Amino acid sequence: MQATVSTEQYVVSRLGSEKHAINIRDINEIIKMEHITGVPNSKPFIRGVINLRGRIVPVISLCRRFGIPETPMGAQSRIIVVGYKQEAIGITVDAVEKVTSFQEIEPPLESREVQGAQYMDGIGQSADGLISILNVDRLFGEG
Amino acid sequence: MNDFHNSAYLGVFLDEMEEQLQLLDDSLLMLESVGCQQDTIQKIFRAAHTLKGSSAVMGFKQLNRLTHQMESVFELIRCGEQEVTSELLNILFDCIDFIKELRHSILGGVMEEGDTTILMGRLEEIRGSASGTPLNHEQSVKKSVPALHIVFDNVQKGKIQTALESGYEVMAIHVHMAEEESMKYVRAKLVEINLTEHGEVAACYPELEMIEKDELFTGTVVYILITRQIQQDIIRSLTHISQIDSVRIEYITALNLDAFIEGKVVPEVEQSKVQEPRKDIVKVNEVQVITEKKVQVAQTVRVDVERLEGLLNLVGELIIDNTRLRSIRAKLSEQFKNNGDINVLNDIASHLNMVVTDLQEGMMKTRMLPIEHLFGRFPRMVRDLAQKSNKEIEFIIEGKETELDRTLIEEISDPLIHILRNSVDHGLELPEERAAMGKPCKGTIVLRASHQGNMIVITIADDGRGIDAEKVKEMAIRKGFVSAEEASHMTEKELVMLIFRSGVSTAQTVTDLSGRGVGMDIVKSHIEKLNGIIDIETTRNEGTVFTIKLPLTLAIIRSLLVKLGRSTFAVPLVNVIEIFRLKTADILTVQGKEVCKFRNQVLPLVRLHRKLQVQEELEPAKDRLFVVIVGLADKRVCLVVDQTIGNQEIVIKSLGNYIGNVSYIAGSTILGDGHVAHILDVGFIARETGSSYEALLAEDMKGEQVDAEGEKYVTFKLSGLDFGIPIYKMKEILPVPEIHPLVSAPAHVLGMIHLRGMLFPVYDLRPQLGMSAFEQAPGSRIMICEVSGHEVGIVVDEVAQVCPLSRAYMEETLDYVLMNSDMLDAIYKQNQQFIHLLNLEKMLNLKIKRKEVG
Repeated sequence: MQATVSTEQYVVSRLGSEKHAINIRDINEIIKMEHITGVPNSKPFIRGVINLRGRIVPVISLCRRFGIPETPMGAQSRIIVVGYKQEAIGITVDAVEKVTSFQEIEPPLESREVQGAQYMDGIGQSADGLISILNVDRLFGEG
Repeated sequence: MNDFHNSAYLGVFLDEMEEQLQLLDDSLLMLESVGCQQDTIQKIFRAAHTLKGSSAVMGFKQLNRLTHQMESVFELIRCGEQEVTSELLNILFDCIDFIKELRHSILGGVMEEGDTTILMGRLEEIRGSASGTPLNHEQSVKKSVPALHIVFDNVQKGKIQTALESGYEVMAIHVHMAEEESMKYVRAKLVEINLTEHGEVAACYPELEMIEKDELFTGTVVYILITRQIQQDIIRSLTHISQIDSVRIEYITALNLDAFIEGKVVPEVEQSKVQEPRKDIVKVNEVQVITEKKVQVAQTVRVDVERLEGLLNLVGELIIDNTRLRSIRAKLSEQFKNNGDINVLNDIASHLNMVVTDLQEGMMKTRMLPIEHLFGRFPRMVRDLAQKSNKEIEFIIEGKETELDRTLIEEISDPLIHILRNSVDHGLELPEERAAMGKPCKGTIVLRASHQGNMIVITIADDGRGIDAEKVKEMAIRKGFVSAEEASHMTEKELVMLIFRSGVSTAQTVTDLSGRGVGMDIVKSHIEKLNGIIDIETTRNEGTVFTIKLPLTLAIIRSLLVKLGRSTFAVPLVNVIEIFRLKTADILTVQGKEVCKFRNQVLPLVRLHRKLQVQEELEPAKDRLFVVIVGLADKRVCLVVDQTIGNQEIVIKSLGNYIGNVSYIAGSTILGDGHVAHILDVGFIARETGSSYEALLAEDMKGEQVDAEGEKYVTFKLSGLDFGIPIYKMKEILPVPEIHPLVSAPAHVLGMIHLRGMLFPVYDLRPQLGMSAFEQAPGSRIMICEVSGHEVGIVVDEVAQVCPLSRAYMEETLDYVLMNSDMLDAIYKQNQQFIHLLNLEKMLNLKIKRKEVG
C-alpha cells in the first residue's frame, strides 16, 4: 500500500504496550471480556468460543497469533468482534482506546524482527504516533 | 419460456406438485392392491386435474399435455370403460416418474421439460383401445335419458305470479355443464350461489341434491330466477364459472307461465352459444377452492425453514436469559425481602417462565412432521423393486403418524431406502424358494416407526432368509477385515455386524438393486452421524430386523453434563449406558491400554482429560473414579470424568466453519449460565478406542472370566430353597407391582408388568422346579434379568444377598438324580449353604434375541 492520506476510520486497541488499529468497517461490535470456553484440539491461536447472544463465536488470541506471551486479562479487556467470511470472529485485546483516522499510512515494516509483522497492512501515523494496522484476512487465514 | 417460470409461484407450484404426485402414487397403489374404488379414482382424478391446471398456469406445456392425457385415461377408468391392468398402471407410474424427474430438474434450475411423446403415445394407445365402443355406449345412454320436466307447484306459481306483477323479471336459466366436469353438484351449487347474487332462485330442475345420485343427469340444470337484472349481466356473471358449456335464458311471462305449470319439456340446449374463451387460471383456482371445501384440510401456511430456524434460535436465547433471570430473581428476593416490588418481579418472572416454556414447546412442534412424509414414498418403491426382482411382497407400514424433526426426515431417507432395497433384494427369497421352504409365497416387509422415550425407533423387518453369519465371516476374512483367528472368536452377532464394513456383501450376484457391498457402511455412518444407533437381529430362514434408533430432533437433545477439570462437557444421553464408580484398583492395563472390568465385561477406559487437554485435578487420594459408559452400536467405552452434573436439554450449535472439525467434539451448546459447553463426539471416541481394542477384548474375556475370587451371584429363595444367578444378568430388583395376567399364557408366565413405560413379562420359576405356584408374600420381589437378550421379570419369595461364590465350592449337577439337570449350571455347597445356580436361558428357553444397544 502506498503512503496515502486516508479518511478511513480505525479502532485503536492496545495489547500490552503495543497499539493496533483495525478498520472500523471490519468490526461488528466490541464487547466486554466474557467467559471463553477453550476448544481442545483446535488451532493453537484459537482461544476458545464465546456465547454471543446465542451464537457460538470463536475468539482468537492476538498474543498467541503473534507468538508473544499472553497478557493477563483485566477490567479493560475487550473482545473485538470482526466479520470474516460471513462469520463473526472475536479478537481479545487488553483495551480499546479510541476511534481515529490516519493522516498518512506507510507500508509495513519489511523486517521479520517485529512480531506479527506479516499480519500488518501498514503503519498509520496519527497525533499519538505510529500504530500498526491489522489485516483481518491474514490474521484469521492460513491455519 | 414462460413468464411464470421464474416467478414467486414456482416454489408453491413445486410443493404442490410434490403433494399431488405423492397422492397419485398412493392412490394408484391403492388402485392396484384394492381394486377400482370410486373414491380412490375420484382422488386420482382430482390430483391429475390439479396438476394439469397448475402446470398450464405455470406454462409447462409438455407437462400440461401429459397430465391431460393422464386425466383422460383416469376418466376412462372412472367411467368403467377402461380396466385397471398392471400394464396400464406401469404406464401411469412411468408418467408419474417422469413428472417427478421433471420436478427435480426444475428444482435444480433446469427449465427444460423433456420429451413426453413416448409416454403420450403409450397413453394414447390405451385410450384408443378403450374408447372404441364405450363412447357409443355413452351416447345411447344419453338418448334414453327422459327429458327434463319443469313443473311448478302452487306455491312456486303464486310466488312467480306475484313477482311478475310487482315488476320483477322471471327467467328460466338453462345451464349446461361440461362433460368432463367431475363435480357437477358443486358446480351447480356454485351457479346457484352466483345467481342468488342477482335475485332469488325460486326453483331448479333437477333438484341439486339429486344431481350426484342421479345417473341420468344430463348435465343441464334449469334455474328459475326472480330478478330485476337484465339477461346479459347474468350471462356474463355465469361465464366466469368454469366448466360450463353454455347458458341459455328464457323469460317466463304471464303468457307462458301456464305452459311451465303444466310441465314443460326442456329442449336440448345448443352447445356453446354464449361461451367466452375461459382462462385456465380461473379454472385452476376454482378447482382448488372446491376441493378444499369438500375435503376438510387443516389450514396450513408454508414457511421458509430458515425463518423457523431463526425463530428457534431466538427461543433458545430466550430460554438462556430466562434461566439467568431466575437466578438473579432468587438473589434479589433474598436481599430485598420486604420490598413490594420484588413480589411483582417474582410474578412477572414466573409468568415469563411459563410463557417461555410453552413457546419452546410450540417452536419444537413446528419442526416436527409425521414420518408419513417419508414413508409415503416407499410403497411405490417397494412395488417397483418387487416387480423388478420378480418377488411378491406385502409391504406393511405402521406408525406413520409418528412425528419427528423435519431435518431428520430428510437425513434418514437414504439409509432407509438402502435397507429396504436390501430387504427386497437379498432378504426375501423368490416365491418358488419360499414355497419350497413352506413359507407363504408372498414375502412380508414391515416398516414401523414408534416413539420410545426421547427416541424414535424405526424397524424394518422382513421374513426372508436372514443373514448368514458364516458367509459374512468368509467375506470379511477374504477382504481382510478380520483374520480367521479373530473371526473364530467372534460371536454370531459380531459377525453379522461386520456387514456394516464397507465391501462386505452376502449377495451372490450383483444386481442393479444392490449387492455391491457398498452401502451398509454408509448407512451406518449416516445414522451415527445423526446420533443414532443401528442394530440387526437376524435368524436364518426366519428373517432380519433392522432397528434404527434416532433422537427425535437434531436441534435439541437430552444430554448428560459432566465436569472435567473446570470445564463442562455434554454427552448425548442416547449414548450413555451407565454411570458407575470405579475403584482405581479395578483398572488394569492390557497391552499398554487401560481397561476396567465391569459386570464381567472388559471395557476400554478413556481418560478424557488428556484427549481434551483439560487440566487433571490432582487429587491422588481419590480411590473411586466416576465412570460413564457410553455406547455406540456394539462398542462400549468407559469415560473417566471428574463429576457428573445432571441431565439437561441442550440446543446443539455448530462451532462454525472457522474452527471446523475438531476431534472428540461434535458441537457446542450454551448452558444456563450463558457459558459455552462442548458436546462430546461419542462416535469418534468409540471408533477410535473401540477399534483398536476389538482383538484383545476377545482374548481377554476368557482369562478374566475364571477369577479366583469367583463371580458374584444374587441369591434368592423360592419355597424355602436357595437359588442363585450371576449378578451380571441382573438388571434391577423391585417390589411386586400389579401383574397384568395374559390370556392363554403358559403356567409359568404370570403376566406383564409396567415399569417406566416399558412392559416386561413376569415368569414364575416354580412350576418348572416342581414347586407349587407363586403366592405373593411381603418379601416377594421381582428381579429384572437379562435372559437370551430379553429383559424379563422373575418372581421370587425373597432376595437374600449378593455374594461372590467361589468356583471351588461348585459342583456339577448330578444328572442321574435330577429330572431336568439342564436347568442348573452347578450347585454351590459350602458350610451350611446349599445354593442352586440356575441357568435361566435353559429354563425359560426364550428365542434368542440379541441385546439391543442403548
